[in-house]
Amino acid sequence: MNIERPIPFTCGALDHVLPLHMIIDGSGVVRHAGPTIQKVFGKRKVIGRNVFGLLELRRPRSISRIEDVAKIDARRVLLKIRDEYRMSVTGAVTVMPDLDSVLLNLSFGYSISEAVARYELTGSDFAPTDLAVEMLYLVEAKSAVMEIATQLAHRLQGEKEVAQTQALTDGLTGLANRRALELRLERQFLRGVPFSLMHLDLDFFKSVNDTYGHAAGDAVLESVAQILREETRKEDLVARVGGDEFVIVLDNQVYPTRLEKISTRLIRRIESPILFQDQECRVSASIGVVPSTNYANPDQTIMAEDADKALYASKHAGRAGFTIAGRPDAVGRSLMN
Amino acid sequence: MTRVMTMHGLILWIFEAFVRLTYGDQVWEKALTDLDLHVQSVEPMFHYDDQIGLSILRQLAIQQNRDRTSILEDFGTFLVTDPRVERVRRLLRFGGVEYTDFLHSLEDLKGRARLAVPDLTLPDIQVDEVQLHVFQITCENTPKGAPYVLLGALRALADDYGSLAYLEILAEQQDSVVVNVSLLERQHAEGREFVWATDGAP
Repeated sequence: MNIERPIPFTCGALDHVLPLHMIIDGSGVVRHAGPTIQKVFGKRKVIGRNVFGLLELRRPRSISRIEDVAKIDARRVLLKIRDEYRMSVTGAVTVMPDLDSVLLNLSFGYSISEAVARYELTGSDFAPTDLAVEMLYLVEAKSAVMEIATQLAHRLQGEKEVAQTQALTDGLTGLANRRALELRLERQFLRGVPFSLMHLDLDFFKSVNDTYGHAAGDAVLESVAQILREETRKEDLVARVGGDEFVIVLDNQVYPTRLEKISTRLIRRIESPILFQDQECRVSASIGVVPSTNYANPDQTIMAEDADKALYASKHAGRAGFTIAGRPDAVGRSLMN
Repeated sequence: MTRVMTMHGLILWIFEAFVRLTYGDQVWEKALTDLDLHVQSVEPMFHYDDQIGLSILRQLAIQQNRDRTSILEDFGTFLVTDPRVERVRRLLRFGGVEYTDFLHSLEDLKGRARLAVPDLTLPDIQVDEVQLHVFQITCENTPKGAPYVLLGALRALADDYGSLAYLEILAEQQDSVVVNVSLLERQHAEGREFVWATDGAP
């Protein structure tokens, strides 16, 4: 069959299968336009207008007269609608059999969602074979699924944060746990800011447990935790690392007189009686502190060992006292005397 | 050997939204606790055993002292009418400009859903206009009770389009259910406004 053979058709038939088409005569004037084209241009006159006044040819750019259309090799032209929105449209052009007019059919391509919104189009404004409706459907479905996925991501993030906090927190006291302390120390050494490491061990805790029971012991631990929180700054870290053992990282705090003051205050406050079910529970604390400035090259293991040694010096000196490593005048300085 | 049927989390997830918004959070949570299920809320991107959905429904029916089918019908109505799940209505309304177009588009529902969410399998639906303005909608491969959701949704959509229709379940067999739709008036009232523009547009 000869594909150039002319066939008879009506404009009504074209309107049905190509609602976004225009027929343009040899002088560039629009002779007929499909119903959706009319809708796009709204109140503006389309029939009788020059096509270049309605549409701007973006590619190929060389064409400015309708006579040149016959020379276009490309099957596809890119245009912009000349209105306030300047929306991109894709067009297919073909010279009609009478050789005196051009058929231009448009598609909104990726502008489809915007076009439907701007020109208030509906499903019946597109050819039944046009994928526009499927496209809109997909955009809608994709947005819905994206929304769900975003919610999911936020929920997971929230749950992750909770889980992380739980993994780094001591369940009873809400203080940091050993893992959190290790992470903090790693960071502390990387940052290179001077700090002191304080080991604190409760004295007479076992007798509270034995006398008043574990619930009393737990109450004591909770009040001690509260004291440690109150007596430290936000940038410090307080961790519970064993039954009645605590470690405090004092950030940017290395002066012995300050460390003495802090130790004294902590012991004093811990020594004040803690009420549990009308029972007065009394504990005290032994402390060992080591400032990072004691070392030319501070090392985590050595510092921890030295803080422990200082703590045991305090214990040996009769408990309820503190020792500042590297300060002979502050070994096991007891507050009881 | 029985094949374990699964249900897409999206379906159970939106059913959860329906229960929580219609009956309250406590009702949903009580049903799950009574069933001793280890989940408190549904993950929309997971798949669940069909039995989970059915047992939640059974539990709700007992708690609310209602028919399972009437709960499912309400669920269908909710999908179309509740502004909080407006997207579902929008996706359905893309099927056609008029109610009759829409009814015919139900045959595409499964394919369209699959286009958007490849692992979402909706029922096979066949629509026959058995006489003028009378449609028979045959659903196959559906989880038990699904046609009642469709019934509720189709009734609500008739309203949405402003059409007057009479709908009923005609025949219920093991693996296929027929919903009968008699369209009494195509344009009975002003339908609810439907703007084709999506949120995707700036």
